[in-house]
Amino acid sequence: MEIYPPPLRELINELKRLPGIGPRSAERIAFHLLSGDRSAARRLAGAVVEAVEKIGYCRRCFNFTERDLCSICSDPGRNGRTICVVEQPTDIIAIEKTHGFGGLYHVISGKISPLDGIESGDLKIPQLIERVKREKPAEIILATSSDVEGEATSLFIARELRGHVAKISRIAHGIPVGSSLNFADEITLARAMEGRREF
Amino acid sequence: MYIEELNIRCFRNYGLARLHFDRGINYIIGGNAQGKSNLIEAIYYLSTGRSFRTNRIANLVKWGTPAFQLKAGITRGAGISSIGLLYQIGRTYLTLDGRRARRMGELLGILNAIIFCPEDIYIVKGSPYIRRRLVDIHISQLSPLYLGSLVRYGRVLRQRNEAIRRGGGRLSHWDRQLVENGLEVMRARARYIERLNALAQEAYGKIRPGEGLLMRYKSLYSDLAPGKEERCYHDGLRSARVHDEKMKATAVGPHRDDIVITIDGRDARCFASDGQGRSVIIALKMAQFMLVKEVAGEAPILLVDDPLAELDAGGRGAVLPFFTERVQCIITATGEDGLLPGKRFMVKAGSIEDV
Ligand SMILES: [Zn+2]
Repeated sequence: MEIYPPPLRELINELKRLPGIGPRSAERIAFHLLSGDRSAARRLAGAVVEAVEKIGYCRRCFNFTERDLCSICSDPGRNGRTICVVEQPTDIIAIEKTHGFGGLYHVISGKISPLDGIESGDLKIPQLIERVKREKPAEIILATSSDVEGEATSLFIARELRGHVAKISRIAHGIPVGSSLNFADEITLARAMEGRREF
Repeated sequence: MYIEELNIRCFRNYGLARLHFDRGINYIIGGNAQGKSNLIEAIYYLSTGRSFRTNRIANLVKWGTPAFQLKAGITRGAGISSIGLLYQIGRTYLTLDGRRARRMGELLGILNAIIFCPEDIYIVKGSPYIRRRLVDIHISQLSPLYLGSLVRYGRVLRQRNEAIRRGGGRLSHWDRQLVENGLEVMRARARYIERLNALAQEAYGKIRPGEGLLMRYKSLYSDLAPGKEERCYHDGLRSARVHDEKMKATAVGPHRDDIVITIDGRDARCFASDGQGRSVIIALKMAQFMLVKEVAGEAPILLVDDPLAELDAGGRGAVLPFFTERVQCIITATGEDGLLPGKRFMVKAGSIEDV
């Protein structure tokens, strides 16, 4: 690594931190950005800065948004009686692609995992409980992943919400054990939403 | 079932090697430390995704190279006919019939093998962990769903223990999964050990007439009232809670299971003679062999990396039936002395020659 000038070294190090990028890919991307026409690299840097500065969290559901409320929460056509709880904003995109769900979401930003130092209080679970008490939805759908952490997170939320909402259901996991919603194809996910079971 | 061909790249002391096996007896002949056992280890690894000699897969890579690769061509009644394994920078990649598999677990049950190796003695004399591991690998080969329950149980257990270390609080969201998966594991183990015991008893009786072998599943499972297993398990977790918090770990569950082996009522772990110990192992392997044959509908292959000459006369007689059946055997030997007819591979310092 010593052969690289410090700014290049820094760039490679930052790229390596990204999910799915190994040392080899980080080097390739860094070289690609610096070789030839550098305006592409400047546009990328600009897009990163702009997204970081302008994209925040929806104050209601913690989805990504440029405004106070995300596009789903501010859509009057959505059914506010049903809230689907997901781990990440990318899960919303996966479910939206199925066109099978017309309710609202709540992003808890992760899952309970003591081994990673993540407890329920580190997630947007307290905010979910407050929201349910305030908005009084008719149904909560728990769509966390099917691995043991996702399952435990759903169980935890179900216990917390008991008595505050009439119906709590868990999506049926035809999704392979241990996988996240992102990797489930649209048909499986649509079936999972239809076949949800009551907790 | 037969392994027809084995291709090796950078595994243990081998650079590149290719072996074509006979469907009968195959001898791998060579001096000590020339790499005989490494070939058995490679086949066993293709069978189970594990080594019987190390838990560190990185140890299997040839010194000074970054990766190893194993490929086997197999013939069996139906299904997969080629297995490829590539280990590289801490990760293992599995391909079945040329297609990348999603999970290592998919390997299990494809190339079924029964192994005899010097490490077997720990099944009798070693810690419960070794007996659990043996049973777990074997059940996984017979029923792929078992591995899923086992892996999930282990993961929930580690999460629960960490939650306890971090000061506990509510554990019920872990306990439900712990009980669900823990029961799956214990039910499968109980069923398996019962069948294994019946077959092993019969085999042992032939090797050492007049002595009685018993393999008994020692587990929380036997304390759970039939029909109310779930409730009892939850009760057990609740009453152990204070103890768990003091010990910073979960006290009850299948991770504490053992398989107690007794001969004429005496615990084999402490009291078995060398001869009895070896007879237990042979009886156990014969029982496993018969179970695989029954479940898979095909005889597994036999890997022998243990000088058979060491077995006492009774024991040697008991291994022979394997050979008279149409079973493929791959056997290591130091010399030609006393070998049966069959194919021979001469191994010297990581190079192999067919004879
Ligand atoms: Zn929103």
